[in-house]
Amino acid sequence: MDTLIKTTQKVDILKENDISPFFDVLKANIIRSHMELTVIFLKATVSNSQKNSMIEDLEEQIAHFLVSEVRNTDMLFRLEGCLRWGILLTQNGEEEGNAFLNRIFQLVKSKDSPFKIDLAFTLQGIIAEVKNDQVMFEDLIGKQFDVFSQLTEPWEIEKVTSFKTQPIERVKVSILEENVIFGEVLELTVQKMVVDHFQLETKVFSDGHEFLQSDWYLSGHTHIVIMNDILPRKNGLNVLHTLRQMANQKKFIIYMMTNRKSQGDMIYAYESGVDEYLIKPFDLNLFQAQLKRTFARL
Amino acid sequence: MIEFSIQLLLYIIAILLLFCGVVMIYLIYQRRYEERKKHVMEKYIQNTKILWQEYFLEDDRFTVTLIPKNKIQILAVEHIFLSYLRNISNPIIQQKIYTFAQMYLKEYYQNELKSRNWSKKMNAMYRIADFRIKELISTCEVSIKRKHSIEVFQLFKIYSILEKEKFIQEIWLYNDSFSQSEYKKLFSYLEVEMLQRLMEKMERLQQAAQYALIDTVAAKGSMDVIEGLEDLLASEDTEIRIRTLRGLERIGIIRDLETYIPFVNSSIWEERLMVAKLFRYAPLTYTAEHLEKLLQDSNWWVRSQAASTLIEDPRGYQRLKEFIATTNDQYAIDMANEVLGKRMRAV
Repeated sequence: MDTLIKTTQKVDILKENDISPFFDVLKANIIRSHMELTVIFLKATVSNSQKNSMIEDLEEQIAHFLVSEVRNTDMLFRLEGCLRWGILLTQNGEEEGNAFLNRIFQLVKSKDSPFKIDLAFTLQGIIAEVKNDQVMFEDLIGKQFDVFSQLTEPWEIEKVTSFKTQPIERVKVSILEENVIFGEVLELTVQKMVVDHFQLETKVFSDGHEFLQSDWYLSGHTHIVIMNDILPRKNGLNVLHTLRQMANQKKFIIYMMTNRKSQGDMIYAYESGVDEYLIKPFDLNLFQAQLKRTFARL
Repeated sequence: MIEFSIQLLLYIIAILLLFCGVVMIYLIYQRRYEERKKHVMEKYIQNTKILWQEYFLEDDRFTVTLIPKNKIQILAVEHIFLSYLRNISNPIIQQKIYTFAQMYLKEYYQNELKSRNWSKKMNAMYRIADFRIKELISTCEVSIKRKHSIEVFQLFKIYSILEKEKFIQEIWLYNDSFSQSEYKKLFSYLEVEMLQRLMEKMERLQQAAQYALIDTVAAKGSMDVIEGLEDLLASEDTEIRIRTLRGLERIGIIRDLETYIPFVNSSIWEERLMVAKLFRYAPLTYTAEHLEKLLQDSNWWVRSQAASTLIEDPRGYQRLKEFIATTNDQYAIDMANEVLGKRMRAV
């Protein structure tokens, strides 16, 4: 990224075609790491027809200005056509993109404008948040042409929402509880939850051995395990250690239900890899709220 | 020498075989009966669990089919109720269970309490406590004539849950003693205010009850009890002082450091240990001098705790380094080096 910044400082920024492979890599990570990606498109418009040399000078100055404003984690690139740029904001959403554009516009419009050119110009921006891995870079490029052609007002910012549709993610929820009645109540509580973009598949196991003997936990899906600490045959702590020793252990989010209230037990559970600790008896609404927070972090 | 005829031996063997056969048949019958009972219970639970879920978790959808009609159904309902009460904390569900038990199970438990079968009586007392059937307390009192300690304990448990005032009056009058764990269980059902009332007249309680009371009060973690606990530090009973220090350490708040300074020079190593632990909750500026003294203690546990308390403070590392450079006590230096080494390895 440093190299990129250095090269862009000579206004030798990446071209539209160069950015496509980067976009594909980042796009693949959207699903895997649950991080959104936002692409900003900027277009400058000069008020009157000007000499080509002046336009080129303006283009260079705006490019310099943008290089100085983007962060190390962002990628600035030049679009086909005159006075157009794109910025890839990694790990950022629409709101951050909007804040960035507003800041840029304010700086350009301010009296302390960094531009040393006697040429009036305005900017327009498009923000496209990408939340699924099916979007092609070419689709984004095509979209910005369409949207820019419809923008009429200077300093206008348009948000494109057509790339925000999140794919439905399958999440497994396992309940390990010896008491059949309570196990089913928990299952019902989970099934009744409405969680956007997630499809929940629940299964109840009466003990740790039954769970570990099944191949249910071996898939690559995000897996929420809600288990009692004391279980017949193989207890919850054994299951916890087994899951946390697996190579892909990060996919497991483990809730431990227990009757033990002591701080020592809680500290041991957390240090062993438990994500949430539920002391029995617990409130089902609180449990649902904790689950919702877990899904919000996914 | 005693002699038996073959015929007599055969008779004895035949009688024994017959006896074994009868016992065997009885056991098989009992097992079958238990299995059948379990099967009927499971079937009843299976058939009604959705209705119970709707009754407890959705809006009121009570249907008369939920009312148990025989003993097996009552046992099944007990199992369902206990599953909810022990796992789910919800005042609405609890109230539904208590009301249901009051209306449809009270009569059954009343009859069970009158039974000559001790286990039936005990089971009824357990469920009365679980389902908060206050009206049956007087029946419980009448039913425990033999004063079996388990029965008495269960009655006290019912008092501590349902008749707290009566519990306090009765526990002061009770001459026999329960174990500490039993007392802790009884006290755990009381609110902090009730426990404070017991603390005010603690000398009237049995010794085991006094120790259990201190532990329970501290476990509640309320700041309101700190003053009462600090008063107990003046007790002549060593065990009370040690438990009080442990309880205060568990609460983790030091109101006035001066209260604890005398324990630095205590002749009882457990008190020095607890005070070294307690100093974690005071600024090192005020405790460093005392902790350095405890670091030179004759007891290994006290030295170890003092060093651990020192190193937990952000300035503790530097303080221990300076201490090593100035002291001649080799034991203290070793202990200080040990915790410093652990810190370095952890980093």
